[in-house]
Amino acid sequence: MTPGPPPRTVLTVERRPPSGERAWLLSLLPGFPLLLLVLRVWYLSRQDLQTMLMVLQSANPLGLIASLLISLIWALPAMVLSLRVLFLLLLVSGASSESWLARAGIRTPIWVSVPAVLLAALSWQLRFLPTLLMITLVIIGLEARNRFGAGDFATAATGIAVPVAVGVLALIWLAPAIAQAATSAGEPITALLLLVPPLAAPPLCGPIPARTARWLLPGTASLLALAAPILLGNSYLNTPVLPRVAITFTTTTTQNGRSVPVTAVQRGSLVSVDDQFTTLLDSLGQVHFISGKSITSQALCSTGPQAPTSTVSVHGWQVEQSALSWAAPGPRNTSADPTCRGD
Amino acid sequence: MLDFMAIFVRRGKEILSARGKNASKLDPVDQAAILEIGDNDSVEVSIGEQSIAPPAALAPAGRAARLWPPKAQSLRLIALVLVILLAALISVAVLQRSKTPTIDQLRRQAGWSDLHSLEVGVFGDVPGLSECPSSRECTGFDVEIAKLVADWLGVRRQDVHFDEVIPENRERMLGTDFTTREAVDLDLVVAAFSITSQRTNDDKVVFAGPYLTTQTTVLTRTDHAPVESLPALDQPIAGQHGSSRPQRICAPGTSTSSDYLRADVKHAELVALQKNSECVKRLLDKQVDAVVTDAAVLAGFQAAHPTQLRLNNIASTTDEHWGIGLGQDFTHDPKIEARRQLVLLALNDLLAQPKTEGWYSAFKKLPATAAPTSGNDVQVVADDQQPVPWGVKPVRRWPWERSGGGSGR
Repeated sequence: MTPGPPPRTVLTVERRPPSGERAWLLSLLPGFPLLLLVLRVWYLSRQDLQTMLMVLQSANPLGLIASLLISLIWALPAMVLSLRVLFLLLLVSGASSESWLARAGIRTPIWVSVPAVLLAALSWQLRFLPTLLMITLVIIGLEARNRFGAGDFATAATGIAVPVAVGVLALIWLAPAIAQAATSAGEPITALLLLVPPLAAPPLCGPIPARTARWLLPGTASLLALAAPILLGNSYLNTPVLPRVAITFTTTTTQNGRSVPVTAVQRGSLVSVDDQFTTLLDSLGQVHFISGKSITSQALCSTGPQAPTSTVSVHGWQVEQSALSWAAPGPRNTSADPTCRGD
Repeated sequence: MLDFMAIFVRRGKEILSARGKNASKLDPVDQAAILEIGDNDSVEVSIGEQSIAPPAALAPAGRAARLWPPKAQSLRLIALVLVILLAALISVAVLQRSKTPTIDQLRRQAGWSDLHSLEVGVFGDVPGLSECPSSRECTGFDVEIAKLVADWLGVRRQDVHFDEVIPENRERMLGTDFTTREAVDLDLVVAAFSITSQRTNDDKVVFAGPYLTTQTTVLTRTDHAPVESLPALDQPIAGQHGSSRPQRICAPGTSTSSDYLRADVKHAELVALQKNSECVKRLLDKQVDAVVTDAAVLAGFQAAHPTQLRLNNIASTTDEHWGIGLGQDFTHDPKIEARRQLVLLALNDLLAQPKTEGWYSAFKKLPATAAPTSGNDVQVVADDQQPVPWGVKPVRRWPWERSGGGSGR
């Protein structure tokens, strides 16, 4: 009997039957920022529908989306890279998994990590850059292990030599800041953020026991996905979407039965300006219509970049500054307009 | 998909190599399929229709053998779990820290955003501490401290109004205008106000401080025998016609020193008056024999009457830490807490100033030491170092605001 050709076997990652066409789900994607925007305006108008309608009437969608982007730009690479690390660990650990992590990981092209790392390098604060370095080294190490196998030179180089060398260099560069954070500044969290990631990269560049990987990694990914909206929502809902101004205007008050002109200041978010009235929304959700004729001056209450909470800096680079803000022109060393104080 | 398949096959090969099996049989990839990679490195491989299971003899000997020495994978797992836990912990801490207020936010909470003037309560009758011929002409250590705090808060020195406060009204923040004698609600009380647990816990007085550390002592006339401890005041004193009588001791009412006197001195006659200056006047008029209160209060009187009065160096008593009073808070009012934090920040920033400015220039208003003294020791009026304020919480500040002594604005 002549042996026939060896049977070809196809490895199926997911055991569930192939599902139907789900491309229509993509059309829901733009809905997410829209939902966030609606929530933000609702929050701004203190849950009052009439105020919300008025704000929506004059709110600029571009402004709303810009504030969404600026406040959440750091979050996208954080999610992409964390999920990539978890997926690669799952892969090299040889844990067959039906989890969404494995499915999402297989469908995500490898190159997505590159722009994510670049975006993070620019938008993350310095104190999180060691974490980015760790994630990048781990991704490189695990990708090499996945491609070339355990015994390959490239795997050994990217899994051990490179993380150790880069980690040592990073620690040498960060050492003064770590010492400052741990001692004089009294900021243990900053010290940990700078110290731990360079040390943690080499041990993470390899497989973990498959039995644990099967539940630990998808579980962590799920927790991350659950926590993300809470973190992002908190950050986004506090981002201003309308410019904050202080308007000085003349009004009248009654003193001893007589009408006396007085100067008053109203602070709030500028909703609209027309030839009759300037409309302001104050911090309590009250709407003020101020007659254009009575306005004597108007000041933009620039919040500017927020002052840092940490006193630590690495070779002159404050740990709460991102590379972008470090390179960009610095904040003005001036106080806000006096009329902006209060509220 | 091929990637995933390759990893399964490679994993099988690795494990089989480790077990001593011939792994080359698994090539090429499309001739083989890994059906299952088990938990304990067990692998089931199908080649064609044959199924190969790992020989039982090659399975790990026992649980103990698997645990030690720890495998690289186990160590990696520990590292991964630690990193995940640390990441969660740090995320919470960073989020918490991001809520740290700015000084402007504290001002808003404190209701001090548009602060243009301050009503400050001082004694007004104590040389070196606060002497006020009128509301605008006060001098002394407490006055300087109030002006330094006002400076930091952005209030001009000429806009700080000083009002008289007597010891028993300090907690209620009730003052009297020096000129018009009208009652005034005070913003701050800077009047030798000792921070004690009774005041903070029972009376709910909110303090920002300390800004001075001093001790209780005894002021007598120079014809009085030297006093070396508070209980020594129990000894009767020679009266008229050779008889003896208990000593008459004056202390301002509701001061900590009157509490010490009640505890340590049983046989003396205690006279409680409202003002320090009244006590000293009676001492000079020989109506009382001793005045007991804080050294930093008494030193100025002694310096004003060096030949008539003596500041006694009594055996060490507990330190008195003076704080700036901000009123009573029975309801955990965020406004009062924000004010406290602002005043604490003002005091804390004084620490960074050179030793010739700020607190140290204010300290020079106090008589440095009192002489003549009893015995050989000099009665130290107060610690000549600014104490570190208690309970300063972090705020968001720019580096140039942090250099010390900068205005809060």
